[in-house]
Amino acid sequence: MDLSYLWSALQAGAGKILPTVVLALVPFGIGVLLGLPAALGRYFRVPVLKQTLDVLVSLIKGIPVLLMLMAFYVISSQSFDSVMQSLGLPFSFRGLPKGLIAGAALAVYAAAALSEVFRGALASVPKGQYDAAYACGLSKSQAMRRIILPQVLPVSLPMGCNIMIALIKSAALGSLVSFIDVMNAAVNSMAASYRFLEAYIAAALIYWGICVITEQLFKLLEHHFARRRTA
Amino acid sequence: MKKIIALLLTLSALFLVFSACGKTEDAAGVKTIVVGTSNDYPPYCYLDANGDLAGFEKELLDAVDAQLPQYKFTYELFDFKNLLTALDTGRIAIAAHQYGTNPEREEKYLFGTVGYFQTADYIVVKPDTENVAALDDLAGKIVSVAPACNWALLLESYNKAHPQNPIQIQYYESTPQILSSNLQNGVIDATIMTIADVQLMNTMLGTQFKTVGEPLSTTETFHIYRKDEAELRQDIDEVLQRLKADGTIDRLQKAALNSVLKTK
Repeated sequence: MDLSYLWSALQAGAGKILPTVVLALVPFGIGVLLGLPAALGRYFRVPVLKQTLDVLVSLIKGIPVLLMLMAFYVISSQSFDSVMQSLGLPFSFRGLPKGLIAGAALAVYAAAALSEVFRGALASVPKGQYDAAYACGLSKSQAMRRIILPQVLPVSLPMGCNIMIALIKSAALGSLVSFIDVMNAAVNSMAASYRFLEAYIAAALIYWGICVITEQLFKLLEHHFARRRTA
Repeated sequence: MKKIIALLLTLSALFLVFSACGKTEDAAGVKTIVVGTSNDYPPYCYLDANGDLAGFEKELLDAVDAQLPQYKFTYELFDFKNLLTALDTGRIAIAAHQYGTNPEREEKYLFGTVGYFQTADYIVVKPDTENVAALDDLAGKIVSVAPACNWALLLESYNKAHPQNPIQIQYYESTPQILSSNLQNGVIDATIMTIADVQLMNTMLGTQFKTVGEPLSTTETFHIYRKDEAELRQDIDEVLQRLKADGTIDRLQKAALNSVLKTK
């Protein structure tokens, strides 16, 4: 262990904090947008939709993110150009930022994982809440928006935080598709000296820092909702 | 608090036990030396059809071992980047993976004194590429190399010297198949490889990539030891010197390349 190398690995890794966080945050956002409707469809047993989603979610949950990433890369490297050509769009795989491929794979994972989180949270709302809402004369969608979802979201926050942290850590897999994140920047910076242990420790410290901050932010959100609820 | 201290002590005791694994001595005084290498760099180190370690690194060290009755070499496999960490912690006593040397690395590790392989690194492009003969011709183009290797270093230092029009370095950590299809399809413009690597890739994958220009660098490869292993290094280097002089190294090297080419 050599602290001066650790420091320069820390600097190299810290330079990639932003891309790493973006690579986790954007898929998380997409995951929420896709996962919530998917959870609703499954929880309320919408015919056909529920069965399709059940199969999809179980499929995605059963495939390692790493494998999904490689599959996305190989598929897009083979067909991205011809698809773009037939659509008449001026994009090519050569110019495609590789972070997009990593982001797409992580978004798929996030959507499946978050739909499970929301499904669990939906199940935590007692039946009586629906009955009470309908008794007050609310329509189904009004009851959803005003009574059920405001209870679902706070309950899903702790698990959502876990998914977010899993996504941040998965960003390190992006190196397989030439995306440089915190860990790979740190490791690359040590190529001249072979101080890989220092690089790994530096990357671990940075990831830990990011995850602590993420956790605190989610806790703040939880407090916010908890206050509103009791107020 | 006591529990934490006990836990730490247990962990450090375990660490010590592992530290001792790189070298053990039996009753007859024969020291077992654990050599670390990987399984994904043919023809130097790879798994043969039976899943056993094969390749030039092992062949050569086996030949060395045969002349050193006081040692017995065994092999353990690691990911390239974890090899030196295994050396640091003492799980292995020798790292053998076509290592090149530089002053920064010598600061931390003991390098062998006998280079056992000479490599020349070239720019590699697809057959119809013209006007590329040197690094300057690659400015602004996409060049793909594995992360944390000598070639990555070479490109990074070129970019530091030419900040106005740098080479776009794209690190790949996936398979040679993907590298080769990217080069073939023009997703990347070039890569850097040794002559033997290109030959191997062309034979294995049926491609026709070519090397251009003068070699970017010629390097010799060495075994890596921990700083306190001067005796082990000297014993091995003496044998390597003999094997080099009598042509054994040359022969093993050609045989290793041929056996990989033949299985394809």
